Amino acid sequence: MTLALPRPAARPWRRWRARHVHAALLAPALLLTGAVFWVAMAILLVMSVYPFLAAGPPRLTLEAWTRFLGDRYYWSVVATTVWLGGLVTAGTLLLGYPAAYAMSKIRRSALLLAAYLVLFAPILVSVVVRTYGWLLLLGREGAVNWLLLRLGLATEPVPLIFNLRGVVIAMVHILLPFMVFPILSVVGQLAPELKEAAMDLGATRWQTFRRVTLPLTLPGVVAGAQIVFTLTVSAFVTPFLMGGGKVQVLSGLIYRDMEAVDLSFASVTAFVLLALAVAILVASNRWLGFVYARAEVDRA
Amino acid sequence: MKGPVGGRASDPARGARGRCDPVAAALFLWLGAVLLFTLAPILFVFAYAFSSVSYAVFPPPGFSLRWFERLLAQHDLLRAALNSLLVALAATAGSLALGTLAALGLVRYRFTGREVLRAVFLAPLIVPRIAFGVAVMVYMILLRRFGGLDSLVLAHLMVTLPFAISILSASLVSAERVLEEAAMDLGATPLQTFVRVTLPQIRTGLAVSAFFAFIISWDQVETSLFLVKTDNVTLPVAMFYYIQRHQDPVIAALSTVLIAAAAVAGVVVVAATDPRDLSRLLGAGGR
Repeated sequence: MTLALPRPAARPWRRWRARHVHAALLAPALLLTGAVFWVAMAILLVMSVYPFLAAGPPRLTLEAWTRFLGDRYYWSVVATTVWLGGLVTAGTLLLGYPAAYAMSKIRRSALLLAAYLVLFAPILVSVVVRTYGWLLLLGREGAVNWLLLRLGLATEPVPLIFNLRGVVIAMVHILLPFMVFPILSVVGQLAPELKEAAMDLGATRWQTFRRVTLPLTLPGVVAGAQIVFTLTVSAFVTPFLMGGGKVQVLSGLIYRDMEAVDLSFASVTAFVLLALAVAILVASNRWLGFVYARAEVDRA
Repeated sequence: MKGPVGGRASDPARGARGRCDPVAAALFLWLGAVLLFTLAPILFVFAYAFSSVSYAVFPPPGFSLRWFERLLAQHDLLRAALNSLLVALAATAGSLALGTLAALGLVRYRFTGREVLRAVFLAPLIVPRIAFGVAVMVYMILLRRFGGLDSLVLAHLMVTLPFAISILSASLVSAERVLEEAAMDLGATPLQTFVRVTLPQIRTGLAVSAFFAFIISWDQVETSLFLVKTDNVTLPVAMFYYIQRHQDPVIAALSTVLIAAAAVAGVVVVAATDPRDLSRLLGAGGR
């Protein structure tokens, strides 16, 4: 037996309102993101096939796309970008993993705070300034070359700026915190009992590291690598200034096209860069899923 | 790749555990070298700000303050600093306001399409900033808003808002919902509940979001690069162009001033933060 309850007239309206509060909360951010970000990206896509700001009457053309995809030079720029991403990721990992591990062993909180400050305070310093610092340090008459000559490690100044080496050194410096932080957060959660158990069972230090510590910290490593790689391929300032025109990556290509007011080609390059960033993200997410799955299997 | 001045580590916690443990000693030595590597370029910027010559030679032949004097005459840079400050403050305020509302909507309500909406909000994080910079420049030309500070604020907001939304969402998830319900039961209006109960609980999230939004906008080159003309140039873009045109330590002097300001701001923030919040943030690396 059903009984239709009489409702006060205001009730449906109130319920409707209560059910749509979230819409009111979300609307401002959604409208703004839609009107600025999504429309801008749509315009960029249109620009890549319909160069409407260029001279002459605009028409639909794939000219910019075929020019990019059909030229081996542009593919070599893509390759340099990926290679730089790999080198910087490897560099930050090499410096960052042992450093994060050592930080997790610091017992004195004052020392830990100092290490945190030194490692993360540079984020407050402009990327332009940090790159400038490396230009000063690594230049022909900079401190590193002065030291190398003094120590007799080189007979003449080593070219350390305006080449890939310089770009990698400065990028490693700038992105190091993004590698250390995720690793630090997983190393901090490691249960010391696991390592003690492995050692008690007769594993050597290396075996313990290889079979216990490394697999358990891998998610942090992958997360850090993901961030560093993505930020490296899309970075502009440091590769541009440290590369001095000798190292061409996708972001520098976009800048060059914009200087030349070739908007449709810049749009195409921007989309290639976006595709690269998305591909890296998807691939590393799948890898992360795989790493987690294997960690689960190992634990079982 | 060790610290450029060699591996002379300050060796934190040498005596902490295993005085004669070579592996631990090597690890701490490595950490010391990494910390030196982190500080090196910044220390050299300081050093060159007081150099007596305009070119980058090590060791600097003498001491002078003339680059600071010359900095004061660089009205373009001062104006750019003012522009940057205005844009960063506006982007921070916008991110906090819109971000709090959106995070409330995403965390406190269940509705279809919530995950899609979250993805829509966070998508700008994936797009390389220089790619978005091109897009927004074309857009602003079409809107005839090219060359103003408002275009910069809008562009920066797209970069800072996703950070605010994700940080504030995390903060709201860990806020005690029971307290909000109790306040409502005791007769508080939704607005009163939000202001008196929810806001105090997410204040750390708000502070962290504001910090990130400000820093990201203040140091934004890629998104601004194609949006600036002479009137609305921002400080990092102005410095980027200055370094390419001039080979003198004016930028080093400016950086010294900026770093000193950042250090003062940092000390103020740390002093103003609840020590428990601070130790919780640092707790990730403890033991």
